[in-house]
Amino acid sequence: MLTENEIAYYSRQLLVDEIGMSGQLKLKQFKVLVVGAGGLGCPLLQYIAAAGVGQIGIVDGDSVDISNLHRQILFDFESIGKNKAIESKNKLKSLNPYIDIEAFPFSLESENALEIIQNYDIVVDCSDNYATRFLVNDACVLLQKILVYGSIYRFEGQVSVFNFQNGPTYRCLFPQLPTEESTTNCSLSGVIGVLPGIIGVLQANEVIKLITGIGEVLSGKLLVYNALKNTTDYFSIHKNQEFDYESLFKDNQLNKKNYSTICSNLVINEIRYQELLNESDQYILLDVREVGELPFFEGENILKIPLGELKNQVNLISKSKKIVVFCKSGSRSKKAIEILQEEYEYSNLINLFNGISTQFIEEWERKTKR
Amino acid sequence: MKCEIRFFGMIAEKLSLQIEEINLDTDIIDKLDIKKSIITKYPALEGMTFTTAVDGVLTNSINNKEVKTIAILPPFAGG
Repeated sequence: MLTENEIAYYSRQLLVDEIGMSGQLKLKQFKVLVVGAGGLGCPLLQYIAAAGVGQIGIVDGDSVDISNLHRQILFDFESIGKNKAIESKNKLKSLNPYIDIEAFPFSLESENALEIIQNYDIVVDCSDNYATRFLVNDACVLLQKILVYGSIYRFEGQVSVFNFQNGPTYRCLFPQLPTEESTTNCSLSGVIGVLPGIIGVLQANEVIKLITGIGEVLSGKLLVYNALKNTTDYFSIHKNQEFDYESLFKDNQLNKKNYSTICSNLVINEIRYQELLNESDQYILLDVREVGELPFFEGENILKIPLGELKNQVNLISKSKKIVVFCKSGSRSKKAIEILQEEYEYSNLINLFNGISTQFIEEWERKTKR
Repeated sequence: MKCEIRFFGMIAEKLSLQIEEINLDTDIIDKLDIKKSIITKYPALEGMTFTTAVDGVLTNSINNKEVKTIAILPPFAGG
């Protein structure tokens, strides 16, 4: 039953025939876990809390930073430095005091995922890294929970509902954790605030539809939104019957090693080539490609040490000057930085995002020969 | 036969290309492995993770003779 105050609070939603009192009571009875209270999590949480989802769990081990505020608009200046899960809970309680919210102020890991997720009906993936996304997916498969997925990259976003009525899962879309080549997040690539807002609200819409049983659930479909063109594409996803989940799980448990590929705490700073060109006089370049590899790129401030020779010639690499490491694609250079940071304690290295191109070399040469 | 390729996310950024018309017969050399054919045509995608869709359906192979669009979809991590 709803109290008088609750009826007043939800009155405009109760007027919607498709929801009504029965839909509102369903919302009140459901338990939804949100993994990540960041760009996607903030708008999603605001809408599902205001809609009356009765029990909400929030998992996030991060603290609010000033650089979050342009898109994570549940937070404000007073929130800076506070844990995101706890701060979200406090903000949402003042938005809707008629629901229960539990904060989990730590990261979701293979060791705690099943224990937390088992208590919820629906899980919403608002995380910002692939390791967590695969972990959440696998935990949902193991526990047979519905997963509402959302993710963003610069001006584009993806939304889908996985594991719904034995439908496709995230691994039907991407079977394995992506390679490092494909690894970047908002802190590396940048994002406009409205994009996670749009995608987070689309996720909230799926949650409300799933609970109330109205409309068509985005299961078996991938929605791809482009903010620059304001276009929405849909792609049908079929269940990958060949994917062997059994081999991922041991004794019905999640295996840490399946999510550790890019889970390391190592932070690698990256720079885009336009930015590098604008500040070309501030950096030394380190080319870790093989000898003779094309395109040819030589110059005064360009040090050439192939990745395989790195350890033998490490004494040539300055620890005080700012160095941009590059290769053809940005992958080997990342590996080089990993080695230099972990084994030789370098802290002055930056990776050139996506590596060099002929266009970059031409512009660099034009600039440095002036 | 002409066919349109659409690139999304960091793949479009990597290639500086969002859409391109290709010749299905000569550019998609292995109809049963679109990914492999795409990497052969666009070597910069070697090592990158992506999935492919033919006319709006996720698949790595082409069964029909007539194909309008192939989409190249990478995963997004951001949130």
